[in-house]
Amino acid sequence: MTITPVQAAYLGFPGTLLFALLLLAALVFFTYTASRRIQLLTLGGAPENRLDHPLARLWNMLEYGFLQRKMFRDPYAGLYHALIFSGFLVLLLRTLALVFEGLFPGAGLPFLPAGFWEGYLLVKDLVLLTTFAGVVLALARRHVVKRERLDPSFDADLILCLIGLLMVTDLGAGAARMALEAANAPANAAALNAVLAGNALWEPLTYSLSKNLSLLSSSSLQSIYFGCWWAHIVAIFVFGNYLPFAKHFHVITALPNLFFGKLEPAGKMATFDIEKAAEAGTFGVSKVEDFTWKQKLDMFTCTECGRCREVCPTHLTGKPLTPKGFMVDLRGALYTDADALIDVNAGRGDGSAEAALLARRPLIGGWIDEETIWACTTCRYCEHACPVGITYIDKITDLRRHLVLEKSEFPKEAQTAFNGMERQGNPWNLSAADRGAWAKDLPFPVLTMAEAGDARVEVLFWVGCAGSYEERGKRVSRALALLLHEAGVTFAILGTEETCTGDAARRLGNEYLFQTLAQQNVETMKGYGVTKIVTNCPHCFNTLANEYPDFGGKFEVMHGTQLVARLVREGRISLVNGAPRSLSFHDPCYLGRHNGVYDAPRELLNAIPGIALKELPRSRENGMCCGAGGGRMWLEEKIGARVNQARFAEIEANGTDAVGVSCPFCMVMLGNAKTELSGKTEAFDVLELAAQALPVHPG
Amino acid sequence: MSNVLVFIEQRDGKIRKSSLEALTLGHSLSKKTNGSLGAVIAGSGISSLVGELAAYGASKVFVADRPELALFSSEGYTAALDAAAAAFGPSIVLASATAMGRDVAPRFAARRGVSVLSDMMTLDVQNGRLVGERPVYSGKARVVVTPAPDAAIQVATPRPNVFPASKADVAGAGEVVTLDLGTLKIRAKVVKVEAAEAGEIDVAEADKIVSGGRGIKGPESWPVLRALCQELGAALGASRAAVDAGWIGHEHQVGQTGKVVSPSLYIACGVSGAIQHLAGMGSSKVIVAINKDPEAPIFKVATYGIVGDLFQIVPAMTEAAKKMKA
Repeated sequence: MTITPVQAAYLGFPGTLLFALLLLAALVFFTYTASRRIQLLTLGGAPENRLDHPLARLWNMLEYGFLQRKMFRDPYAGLYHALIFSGFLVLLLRTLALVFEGLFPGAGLPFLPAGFWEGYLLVKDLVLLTTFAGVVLALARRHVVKRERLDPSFDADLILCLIGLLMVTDLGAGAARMALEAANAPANAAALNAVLAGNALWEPLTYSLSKNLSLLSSSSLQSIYFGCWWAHIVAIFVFGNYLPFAKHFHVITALPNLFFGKLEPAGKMATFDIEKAAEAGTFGVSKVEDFTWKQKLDMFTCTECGRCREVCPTHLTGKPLTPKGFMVDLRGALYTDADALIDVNAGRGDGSAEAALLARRPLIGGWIDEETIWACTTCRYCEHACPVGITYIDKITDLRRHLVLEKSEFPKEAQTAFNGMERQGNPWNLSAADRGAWAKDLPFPVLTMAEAGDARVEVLFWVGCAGSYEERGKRVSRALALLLHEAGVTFAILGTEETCTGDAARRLGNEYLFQTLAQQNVETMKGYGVTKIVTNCPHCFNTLANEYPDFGGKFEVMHGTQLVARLVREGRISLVNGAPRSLSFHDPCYLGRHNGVYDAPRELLNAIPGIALKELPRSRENGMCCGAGGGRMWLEEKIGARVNQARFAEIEANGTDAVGVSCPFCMVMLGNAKTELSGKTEAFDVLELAAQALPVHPG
Repeated sequence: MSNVLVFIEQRDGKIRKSSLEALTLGHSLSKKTNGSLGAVIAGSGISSLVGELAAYGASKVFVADRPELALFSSEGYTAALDAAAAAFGPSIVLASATAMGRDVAPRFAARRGVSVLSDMMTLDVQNGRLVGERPVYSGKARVVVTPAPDAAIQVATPRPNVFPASKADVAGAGEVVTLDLGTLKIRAKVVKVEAAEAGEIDVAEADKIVSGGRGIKGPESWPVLRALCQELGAALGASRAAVDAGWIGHEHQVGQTGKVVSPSLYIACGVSGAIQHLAGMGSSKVIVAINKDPEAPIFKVATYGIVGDLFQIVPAMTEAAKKMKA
């Protein structure tokens, strides 16, 4: 009769008791760690409801968690991660069975249906192999076929080796036990053969290894069996307890993090009550504990895989901000002072925790440099890339909110833009009276909503600051007006009643200015009964569509390319003119990644005669920012290479005659880069190209 | 009868032009009311400057000449003004609305419990009361202001470059009164003054600016523009493109993310006029644009536009300016 490891005694100490003590220690320690982590998660921070739309949340968890949707963008990593992840899912049951066996020697899991276990064993045997293969592939990724995004990590190697050890010890214990059982079996050949046939069928890997072990003596086999078994058990307990201390906490937090992920439009920033904040005297976040629980769960979950930085414009141009580094530093701030934070929050202690918090390394300027905070263009590549649903822009802008609203510490150039928005309704501080002047040269009248009076207006043309003041932007505004006019769409503008949407103010942290502008604009539009809006500025588009609903402004908002593409599709305008030319298309972040509009500009470009679209290597979801977003348009770029030049170099390398853009700020940035680098590829707005293709156009 | 006392700034032993403007203004106000004109000057080794102040009509010059006043001190210079006012008994005190004047005048006013008419574009005296205009809303409107009727002393800071500076028809007596300030308590000391680039006028303060963009082709062309600056007494500006290219320091940058300026004359040489640049200089009084490209947006805001090669036009302008001065 083969005895199990817990049935043996060790230096007179019963195995079951030893096992029970180990299990108890592991559980106690884990419970303690977990409760500390949960306390850390829930202390401080504004309340946040992440339980709405539970079905959508479950779906996200299924799609991005269990089905690993984003992981396969890097097929190699996707493969080994899926091997390890599926291994964990399968072996969870195996681990439960082991624990059960440890406590109740000789017994199997009681709740499984008959015949299940044999089938499971077959899968388990396969999974031991695939998981081990996954570990080898993962180690190879870290040390042989490296990626820039991965930094050397002792933690990662340790965890991978631990997983490998789990597989090896599981297999070793199983095979030695199988060989031992065969050796100890009664001399009934028929019964033995039946057992061996069963083993060969249901645990082929273990069986073949056991055959190799069968030459060993029974005592050796028992030593291997017991040794592997205990090593496996100890490795499991160590593994589970080590997770919360390292970047591999994601094994536990990733699925919840996906479940609690952001369901609101990607481009929408959180609105907060300014008056309440003013009463409390705090704006934004200056201490790590003041992030919301979900924001802290993000910090727990970051696995430092670095996908977020692969197309990050600040990382690519050598600036101090990388999303991964940012998240790791936030977590560092949170973990380093975790004990003091929890003690102070619980009102425990002798004042030493308070003292520790007073003396701690400050979040802003200590853990995170101010330069890092201002570098972000909010292009959202990082959030698109993150496989576990971490958001970054919310944290960057929370820190900016603190710096602007509470400390009044921000790059001084931002003040010029703030003043302009506040006084003249545009960041350039140009006269508000000239806002409608762009329309004067058109061969047909462009009415303001006030002038239109009771006349039917199908759609409000929201021109935006660049479309109203910037020379090229004005040309694009005239192009859109012409296209609408040709299609017989009745439209009007707000003229001098329009003011900046406040996009840049909000993203630079000046929530007060943003809300003032938002309320004013919503009031103006509601006054005219506006229901539909078309705009060619993706920043206006995002703000109007996603952020104004918080201020009572619910409108149907279309981007210029969406509306014009539809008008072409419906045959209301025909695009007939055009010389052959090859064209790259540069996706604006606030149209693409923030709002998922990738096809409309391409549909329109493909409808223009002569244009041959040649996609950029980094396009659509992977498009690289021009450098203007997040209010960066209004700031100096003093560190590293220029984002606009880096992007322009990619466009030049694509070798097309021209590049199409769909955002006035991309236009300015790429136009500047062309001058700065004495480049060749000229930028055109998609609407300019469309207007030029009209049967008759004024040039 | 209103006695007028004017706070005079000197730097490196030279009286600043804006102070002479204030003194000229003070002279006309004192003449109007048959009062007398006093001037107060603080510094170290400055007694030689009294003659110039008398030439502008000062009948009394209060001098605080002490080593510890060599560099500007808010407390020390205010103490000098305070002591001079106590001795002279003026009903009007003027200080130019420069960085120094805007520091000293409010301190003095606060000590006397009166207000300051700040940054005045016009200033007159009617029935013994100061009255004048100051700009609001970025110069889009002006408000007329006058001190409270019960103010024993009326304090005002006239804006530099707005009022003319001219010597009096008849020089003042220039009687020197040495101020005894006793033991000065100076808590905030100016340790040293570091000029950004010696000898150059700061674009943010300049009344005239000659500015270069990418059209100047490279840093070797700055002497062409600097020669014109020299003749006009103008500061050298630059577009972001020129600064980004590394042709000149950021302190010269005019525009949205550089300095926002509104001089009375802005000469843009080889500047295309991107909106970032226009945002920084669009409110200049007279804009002269020199550019090869007739389509350049700079011409849309220019008062005078010259389409042509700046390397011919700028030297010609420099020559013309030289001739006019000769």
